[in-house]
Amino acid sequence: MKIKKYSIFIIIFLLSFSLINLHAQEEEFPENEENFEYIYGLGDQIFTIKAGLIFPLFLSSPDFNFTSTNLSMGGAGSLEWSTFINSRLALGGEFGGMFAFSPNDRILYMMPLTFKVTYFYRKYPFEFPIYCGAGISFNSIDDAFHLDFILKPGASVYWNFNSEWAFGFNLVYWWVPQIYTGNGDVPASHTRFGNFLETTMSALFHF
Amino acid sequence: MKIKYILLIFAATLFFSCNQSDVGIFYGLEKEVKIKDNSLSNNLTIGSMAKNGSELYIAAGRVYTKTSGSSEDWRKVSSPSGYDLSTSLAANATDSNVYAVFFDTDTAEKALFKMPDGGSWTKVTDPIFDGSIEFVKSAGSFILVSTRINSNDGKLYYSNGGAFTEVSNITMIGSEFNVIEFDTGTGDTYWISNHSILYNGVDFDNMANVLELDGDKIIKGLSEPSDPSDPYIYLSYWNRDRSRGYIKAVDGASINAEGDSEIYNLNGLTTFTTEGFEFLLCGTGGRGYRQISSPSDSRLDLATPKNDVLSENYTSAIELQNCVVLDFFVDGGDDGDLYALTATTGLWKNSLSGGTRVWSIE
Repeated sequence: MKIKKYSIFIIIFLLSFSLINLHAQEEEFPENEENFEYIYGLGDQIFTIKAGLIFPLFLSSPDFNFTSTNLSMGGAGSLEWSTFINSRLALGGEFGGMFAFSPNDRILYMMPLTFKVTYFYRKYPFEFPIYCGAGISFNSIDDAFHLDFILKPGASVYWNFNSEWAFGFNLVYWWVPQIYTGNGDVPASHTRFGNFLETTMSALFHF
Repeated sequence: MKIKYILLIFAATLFFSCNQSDVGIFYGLEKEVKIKDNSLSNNLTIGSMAKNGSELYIAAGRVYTKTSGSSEDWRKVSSPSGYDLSTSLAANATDSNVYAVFFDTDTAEKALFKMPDGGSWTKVTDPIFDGSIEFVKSAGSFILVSTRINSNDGKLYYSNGGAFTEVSNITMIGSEFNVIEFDTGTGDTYWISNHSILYNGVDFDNMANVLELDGDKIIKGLSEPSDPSDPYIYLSYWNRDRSRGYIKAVDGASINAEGDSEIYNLNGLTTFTTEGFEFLLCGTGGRGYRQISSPSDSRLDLATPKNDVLSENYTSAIELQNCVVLDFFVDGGDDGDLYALTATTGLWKNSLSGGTRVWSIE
């Protein structure tokens, strides 16, 4: 089973790097490129693809008991679209997914759909966006499914390859409060807050 | 204003869930422990299980064996020449033989064989059974064999190690049956269920019809009570008309109590006592097993198992929770090893490990 897990991780990494290489091959280096800082304005848009690893950190109960998630390191990825409302602030949405393995090789899937606000610090040729996403996460394991709120604060480092493409590294915290009210089959005492750390590589396209 | 609506949508999602189980997703992960998995394939259907001397046997297509209480792997037992598969076996303490029904996949012929521990299979030919041999079970010092004549009719035979004799006063409907030996204090020693009818008697030549359910109600399991002084047995049945399963306590006379209905099919029953706690366990069709703690004729409602004295790791045994448990086998009496025989999900074992009882998969 370990081989299966590692294979999945390796495939994700290879896919992410092959995407980077593919796009790099398609671009031509302009001759006598000038040094300048890219400025974005209202209506400019960005599209981002991310892939990497997710580290399940811990679970906490409402009375602040902290316990292990019992999950293995997993894979994560997402697609994001945002539009600038001024030169530094962008609004958008992100749809992603993660998976991780339980001690008995059950697979937890979480698929967050979030609204995202991003603020860009810049030091050419680098950009340092900080952001926060909030939305819903479709969570399932085996036959169980639960729709939860999710908060995803994070930060990235991007290197601008040219005026259209940038490549970077992302660190995103996932906070997933899984709340049971006790009205259904699951008792309220099963409420837990999930905490995860996503580390991904990404390719960002400005248009 | 729009943000208000978005927040409202998000808030509504907080309370949406769709769970097959009654365990929270993160909570279940928090409590999950690794289930021990031994060498036996986990996709087997275990038709039956028996103990002959110190050796355990299972019929799971092939016949497998291992020494009771040992940590050794299950070993395949060679099939008799010309036969391939077995899904039914039983052990007879009288002649110390294992009896198994084998199937020839080429000719579709079925035959009954017997084998002493460490010996080889011998075909049982006395008598020439009427119909296709289907199931073999044991009760006390007897072996019972059922045959199928056609889709509606069958026959039942018994033996205490010698030649088989037909149980003449039971008119079998089909070939499925259950048998237990238990004295309710009135001399009723043997109890046999077939289709929707329950029989009892002091011997197999004098079985009497003591309970006849409607034809839509099929008896699926029989068990003696957990307290031997209780003068009744338990049975599980499936009401095909209402698609409901029930547990009953009956003595064949005045006691005829019934628990609440369940929406899932019920299968085999067993009682099991550990650390002084009594359980009635019932296999289900797709929801693992259900249990009644301290069962009695006034306590017959099945409950979903929790992490309790019987199983400290039940919530981690996800495959067991969602499988078809056909029947149970108890090795060693009270506080012994409890086995759950499943359809396509292998053989599960509940035993003492590190001071607590846990499920593992063989």
